[in-house]
Amino acid sequence: MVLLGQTLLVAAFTASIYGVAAAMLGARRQQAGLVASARNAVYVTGALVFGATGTLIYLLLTDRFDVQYVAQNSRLEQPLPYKISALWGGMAGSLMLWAVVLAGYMVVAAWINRDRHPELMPWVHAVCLSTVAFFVSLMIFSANPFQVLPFTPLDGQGMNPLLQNPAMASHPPTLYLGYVGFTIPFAFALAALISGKLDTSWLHAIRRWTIVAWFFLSVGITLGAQWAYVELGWGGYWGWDPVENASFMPWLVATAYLHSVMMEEKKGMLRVWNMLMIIATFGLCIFGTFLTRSGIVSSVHAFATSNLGAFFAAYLAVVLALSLGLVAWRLPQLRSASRLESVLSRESSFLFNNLVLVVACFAVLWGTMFPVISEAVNGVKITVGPPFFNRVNIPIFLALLALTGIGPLIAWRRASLPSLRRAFVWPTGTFLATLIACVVLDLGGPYTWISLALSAFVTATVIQEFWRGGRARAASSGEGLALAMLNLTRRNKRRYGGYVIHVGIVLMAVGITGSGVFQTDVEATLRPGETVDVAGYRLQFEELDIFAVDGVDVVSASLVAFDGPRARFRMVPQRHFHPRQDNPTTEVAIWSGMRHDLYVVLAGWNNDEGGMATFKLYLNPLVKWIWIGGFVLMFGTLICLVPDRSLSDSGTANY
Amino acid sequence: MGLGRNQVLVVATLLLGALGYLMYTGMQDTMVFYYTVSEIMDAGPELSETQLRIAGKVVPGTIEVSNTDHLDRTFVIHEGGKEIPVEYRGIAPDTLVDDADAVVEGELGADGVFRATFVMAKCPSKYEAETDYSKYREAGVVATGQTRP
Repeated sequence: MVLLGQTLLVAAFTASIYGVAAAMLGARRQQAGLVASARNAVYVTGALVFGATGTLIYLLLTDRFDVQYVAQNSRLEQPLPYKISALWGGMAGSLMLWAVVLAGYMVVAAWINRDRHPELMPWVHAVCLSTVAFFVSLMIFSANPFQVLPFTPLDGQGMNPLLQNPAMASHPPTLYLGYVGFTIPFAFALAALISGKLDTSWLHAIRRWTIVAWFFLSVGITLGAQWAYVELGWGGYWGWDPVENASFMPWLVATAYLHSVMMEEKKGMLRVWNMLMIIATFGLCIFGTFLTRSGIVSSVHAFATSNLGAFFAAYLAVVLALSLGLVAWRLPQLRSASRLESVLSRESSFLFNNLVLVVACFAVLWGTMFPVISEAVNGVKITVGPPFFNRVNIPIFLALLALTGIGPLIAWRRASLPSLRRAFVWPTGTFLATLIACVVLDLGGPYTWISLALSAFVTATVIQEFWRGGRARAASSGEGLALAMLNLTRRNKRRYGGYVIHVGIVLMAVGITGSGVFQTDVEATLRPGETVDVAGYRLQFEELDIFAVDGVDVVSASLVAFDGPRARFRMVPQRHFHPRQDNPTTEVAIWSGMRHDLYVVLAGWNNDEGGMATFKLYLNPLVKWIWIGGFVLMFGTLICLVPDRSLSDSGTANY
Repeated sequence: MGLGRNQVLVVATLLLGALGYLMYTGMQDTMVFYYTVSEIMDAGPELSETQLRIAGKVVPGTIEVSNTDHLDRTFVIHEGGKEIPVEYRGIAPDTLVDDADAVVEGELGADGVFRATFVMAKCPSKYEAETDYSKYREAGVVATGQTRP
C-alpha cells in the first residue's frame, strides 16, 4: 500500500506536468486534440491524487504504524472520526489535503466548462495543473506522507489532543476549501491575461467560484474561532495569531473583490484592480499556507520549522512575478470603460470599501510580518501583539461598517440630494437613537457606542431596502408584501443575499463588541461547598472527580451555578491526560446563553485534605451572536448561490 | 468629469493618511522587543523595564506551581548556555512542559527575575525514531508541575 501511494503521487506529478505542456502547446498552436488531451490530463491527475489520498486514509484506518505519518498522527484507541481527520493533523497530510481539494475543484471546473470558453480553458488547465504539480512535488521531495519508519511501533503517538475536537476536525478542510477554491478564479484571471480574451466572460465564469470559495473561507475562519474558544481555554476566540491572520487576509481581499467586481460587470470599471485583487487573494492563500507550514513566524498552531518554507517562498515569488508581469503586459487592454462621476455615488462607495478592506489587510500583514521585517531591516526582532491589531483595526472596521450601511443607500453614477435625504432619513435616525441610548446607558466607551450605533444603522439600511423593494414590487405586481419580498430576492439573489450577509456581519460585530469590551473574569481557589460570584451568578464547587475514559485520564471538577436562590445549571471543567502526549489538555466548561456565556477553566487542583481546585471564570457577553451571525452569513451566501433557472451562466447580472 | 475622480482621490488620501497615523502610533505604543535568553543576558541591565519577549526552552524539572493557588508558577528558560528564571501568574498554556519552546512576554526585574504577563509554548518536537512508547504510560508524572492522577 505504501508503494501504491508513492507511485500514485509520482504518476500524478507526471500527468500534471504532461497536462501543463499539452495545454500550453495546444493553446499556442490552436490544436484541439492537444487541448482535449490536457483536459484528460486534468481528469487523470485528479483521479491519481484522489487515489493517493484514499491510500493514506486506508493506512490511517488500518493502523499501519510502520508509516511515519500514521505513527505520528494516530493510535489504536483513537476514535474513528479522528483517525480520518488525522489526514490533516500533520504537515504532509495537510499538503495532501490541499492537493486533493484542488484536484476536486479542477476536475469540476474542467467538466463544467468542457464546451465553454475555448480560448480560456487550456490556460485554466495549465494553471491548475501546475499548482497541483507544486503541491504533489512538495510531498514527493520534502514532506512525504508515505515515509516508512525503520521499525514498526506497536502503537502510534496519537494526534495532538488539541486537534481532537469537532470544530478542529472540520476547520482545516473548510478553510482549505476556501483557500484552494481561489485557485480557480486565479486560473481564469491568468487565462484571460494570457489569451487576451479580456471581456467579461472570465468574470462570469468565476462568479460562482469566488462566492463558493468565500463561503468556505468565512465558515473556516468562524470554525477556527470557535475551536480556539472551546479548546484553547484562554476565554477568547481570536488572538491575532499569525495563523489566524493568515486566513483573515485573503478573506479581506476576496471580500473587496466581491464588491469591486460589480463595478466591472456593470460599468467596465476597475479592471486592473479586479485582476490585482484576484491575484492578491490567491497569493495570500499560498502565503497563508506558507505561514502555517514554514514556522517563519512563531505561532501557537504553526507546524515545526521545515525546509518547506523555501519552496513556498520560491513558488510565491514565481506566481507573483508572472501574474504581475502579465497584468503589466496587458495594461493597455485593461482600460476602464467609464469614469467616476461623483464622490456621492455607489461607485465611489465601493471604491472606498475596497480601499478600506485592502488597507485592513495591509495592516494585518504588516503586524504579522513585523518581526521578520524589523529583523531584516535593523537586526532587532520586534513583535506587535493584539494591542496593535486592535488599535489599528477597530477604527478601520468601524469605517467599514459605516460603508456597509452607506453603500446600498447611494445611487449609481450620481446621487441627487433629495434621493439621499429620502434614503438616509430612517437609517440615520436609527443610528442617532442607538447612539444616544448607548451614551445615556453609559455602555463602554466611544468605540462601543459607535460600533453599536453603526450596527443599528446597517440593520436599518437592510430592512429599508427589503421594505422599499418589496413595497414597489407589491404595488406593481399586486402580490402581498411578504411574497413580493421573496420574489424580489429570487430575482436579485446576489443583491438581497448580500444584504443578508451584511446582517450576519452586523450580528458578528455586535458579538465581538460585547465580548471584547464587557468581558469580566475572576479567579478562585475553592474547597468543596465554597462559592464564587461572577456577574450575578454564584457558582458552588461540588467535588473533584478523577477517572479514566478510552485510555484518557480525566480530572473533573463540578460546579453548580445559581442565579439567585435556584440552581440553574451544572458546569464541569476538566483536564485530560492523553496517553503518550507530553501535556494535558484543558477542557473548558461553557454555558452559552443569548445574553452571555459563562466560561470556566479548571486551572489546577489538589487532591489531599478533601480536595481543592482553582478556577478561572469568564463572563463573555454576546459571544453566541458571533456564531449566529456566522450562520446568517452562510445563509445569505447560499441565497447568492442558488442557481437562476431561467438565466444561462452568462446571463444578465442583477444588482 | 475629473471632479468626481479628484474628490475620490482626496478622500482616499485622507484614508491612507489616517491609516499611516494609526499604524505609526500603534507601533510606538505596542511594540515589544523580541530576544533570546542569551541575547538578553549579554545586553545587560539597560533592557529592564521595557516590555520584552524572550524565547527559550523550559529547563526540565524547574516548573513549580503553587500548591495553594494553582495560578502562580515559576520556571526557568534557557538558550545559548544562559538561563532566566520566570514568574507567571495566570493560566499557563497546556503546552508549557519540560523542554517546551517557550516565549514569555513581560518585564525583566532588577533582581534578574522575569515577570511574565503572557506565556506561549510549543511542545517539544513530537517525534523521535527512538522513542520508547511504553515510557509515557508508566512514567505517570507529567511535567506541568501537575501530577497525573
